[in-house]
Amino acid sequence: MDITIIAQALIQGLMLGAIYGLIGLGITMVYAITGLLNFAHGDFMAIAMYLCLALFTHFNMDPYLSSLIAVPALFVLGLMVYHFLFRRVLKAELLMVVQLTLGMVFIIESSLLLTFTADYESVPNILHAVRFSLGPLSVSGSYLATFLVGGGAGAALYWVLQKTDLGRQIRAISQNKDAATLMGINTTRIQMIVFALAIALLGLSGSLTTSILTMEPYMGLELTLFAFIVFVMGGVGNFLGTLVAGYLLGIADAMGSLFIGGHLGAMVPYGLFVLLLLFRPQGILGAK
Amino acid sequence: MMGENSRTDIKIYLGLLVLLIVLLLLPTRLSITWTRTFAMVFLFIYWASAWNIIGGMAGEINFLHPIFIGAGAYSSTVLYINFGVSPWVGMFLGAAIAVVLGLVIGWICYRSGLPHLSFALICLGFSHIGEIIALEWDLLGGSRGLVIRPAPGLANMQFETISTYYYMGLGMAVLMVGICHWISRNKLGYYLKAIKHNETASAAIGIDTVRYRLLALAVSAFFCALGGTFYAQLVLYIDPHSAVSITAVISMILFCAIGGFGTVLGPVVGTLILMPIGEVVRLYVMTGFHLIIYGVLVIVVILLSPHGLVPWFQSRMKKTQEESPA
Amino acid sequence: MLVSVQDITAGYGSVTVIKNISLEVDRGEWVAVIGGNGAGKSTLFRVISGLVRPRSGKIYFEGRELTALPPHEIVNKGIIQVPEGRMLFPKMNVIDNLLLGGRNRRARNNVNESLKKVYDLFPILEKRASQEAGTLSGGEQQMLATARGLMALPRVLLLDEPSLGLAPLMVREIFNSLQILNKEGMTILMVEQNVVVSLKNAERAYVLENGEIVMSGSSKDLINDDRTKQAYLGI
Repeated sequence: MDITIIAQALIQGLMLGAIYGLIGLGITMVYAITGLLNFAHGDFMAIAMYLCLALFTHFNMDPYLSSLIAVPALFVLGLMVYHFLFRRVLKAELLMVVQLTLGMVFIIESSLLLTFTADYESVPNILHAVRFSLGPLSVSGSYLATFLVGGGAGAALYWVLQKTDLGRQIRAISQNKDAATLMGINTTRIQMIVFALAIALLGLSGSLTTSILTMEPYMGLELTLFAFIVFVMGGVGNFLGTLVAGYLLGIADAMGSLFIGGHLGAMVPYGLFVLLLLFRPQGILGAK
Repeated sequence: MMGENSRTDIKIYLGLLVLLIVLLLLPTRLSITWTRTFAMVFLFIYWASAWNIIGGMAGEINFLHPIFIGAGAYSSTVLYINFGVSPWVGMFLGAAIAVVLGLVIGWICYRSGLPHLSFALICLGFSHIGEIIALEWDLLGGSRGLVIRPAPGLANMQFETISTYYYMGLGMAVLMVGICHWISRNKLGYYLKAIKHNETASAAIGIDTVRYRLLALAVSAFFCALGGTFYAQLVLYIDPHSAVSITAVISMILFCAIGGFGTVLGPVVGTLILMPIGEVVRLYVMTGFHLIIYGVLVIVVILLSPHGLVPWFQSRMKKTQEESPA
Repeated sequence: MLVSVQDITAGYGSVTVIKNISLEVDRGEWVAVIGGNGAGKSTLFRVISGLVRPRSGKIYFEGRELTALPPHEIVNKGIIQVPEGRMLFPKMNVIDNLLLGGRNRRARNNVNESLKKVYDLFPILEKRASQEAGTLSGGEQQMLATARGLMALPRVLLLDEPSLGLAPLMVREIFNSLQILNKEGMTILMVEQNVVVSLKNAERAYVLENGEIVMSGSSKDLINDDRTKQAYLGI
């Protein structure tokens, strides 16, 4: 096989990997400070994508422009979901949280189905037809934008987590919640903000990928699965590991569809994940 | 204390008996659509109870059941269509495949002591892979699925009247609830409860946790697969979407959640409440809307009575008994 | 009175850990609560800091009631706890731990001076500034925990078992620093199992047994009390 084709796929995978890292980072942050796992995580990204679809069909709005609506809208949605639902199961056992969020999966997916039908959709954006080339390699503008903005957001968030007071508060809660409280940190408020921030990231990821990922009402669970895989692969609760795992998963995804293709190719990321869990259950960057 | 409990139990069993008699007489009064719907409700009681053995009693977030159901449905159907093997025989091949798959996946995962979440994800991953295999393998009909030609006859596990399916489903549900009841009163049930409560401590007091989790998984897989065959014979058509369905296993989990995880009657109560409501909504309001109803009901029940309706009901009955002087 | 604990009863679930506890701390005082394992000392502190809600009773700080406030507001008032087992943030470096200590509303504009002050008090911490807290020695961890508490500009410092698990030499060093702080006017309320050290340093002490206060008085009186001698000093 031609080396340029492989390089081409590698680049594409890397660019989509930025998004996987970003949605995984949301899961990691929420888990780190609340211990909660949201099986409806990916469904919120589906909501964002369909929001862009609606804005496009009714107002002919470019998805990049729609992100200015989608991000704050999902932030508010996140605040509400946290306040009315998640806050109440903070001390419940894992299984109960799983059920609660699986209930949300049904609600969101079916609502999307009833509102938008089961048709496959995608929304073009302004950079969709633009191609950038470097030598024999070329990449579509929307992939490049996804990489730059998504990867940039991931890196920026990592910087916030490591270097700012908010980040220090988040890390403190994740390492010892009682001690964080004794530092005068309003843990309830931080938990709510982080949850909403994670959902807002999905608003961004969704608006960036409307032309790359095909949307359908049931896509959420698969996105959640990808996010969880990234979360576990990176070493549960490890922010940097999550971002790295995102890129790895993107590459695995691209290689699978290049060398095997079709449905079977789509199995590659899962296969990789299963192997990794069996041989390195603590994740790529996790400590033993 | 013991006496109070058994008195509560007797009341519950009397109630169940009345319910069973009503259900036995019901088909004479039901339309064909509703008879079929109830056959499906019974199948889901059966499936949810089978899931509950590994999910509720052992406390695992197990998503492997789409594979088990698929193994049952596809094995008997492929054997019947291509080789004329009776589904009564084919279903045991399916069950055997399901048990082997379950044991292999379970053995690998349980031995490496994966945390619950990682295990849940591996299960979801495998179910996804199962769906993809069904889509890709020509023998299994790919995305077009497999159609079973109608040829009524006991040997073909096909029946003239829909009420025969109804009674068969009812029988399966009763059998499965009986098995769950038996398990919960026996060594396996106690061990599973101990493992659910604290796996490390259970291992420390000498329970071979891997062995008992595998046993529970095998039982669950075996019966789920048999149900898969029944499903194929009832609908006479299977495809990857319906027979290797993650939505179905989520439904089972939610039914158990509403009724009460790990309780014998939880899956029965949950399914009997949710599915008929869902079907009414699906038939008379809108398809798809029933899943929204499931979701909302589950969330409401979890927020109001986190352990489900059966435990809630039991604690209430206990209270009223304690309040009223004997 | 700076701190006044009145008739506090508290516990977890159906278990009552402390019963009808009342105690007072005046400005500039160093008061100790002495008691063995499971006497309820840590629960008492968790109640004062708002981490555990009491079943009954009230707590006043400068005459104003604290009992209904959320924990972070109690910190903002200047009631700072250095918890048992130190509860550092193990994967953060020393300086991040200190900065977190100094981020409450009263302390946050004073961070640089506070930092200088705690480095003066515990010079080793400055050397370890960029090291992860989890990698410090036990004594250094106790210094960091205390320093993190000081960064919060406490108006009363609650010390939970500052001598726990430390070598005698290190205990002396920590208490020397606490003596300096107390001389400068810091109010200290401390719970300790180490009776000798407590009574040597604190001015007054309460003795806690099975969740109840069984004795109280000045350290001098308690040291000479026969019951204390028998029960706690082994004389």
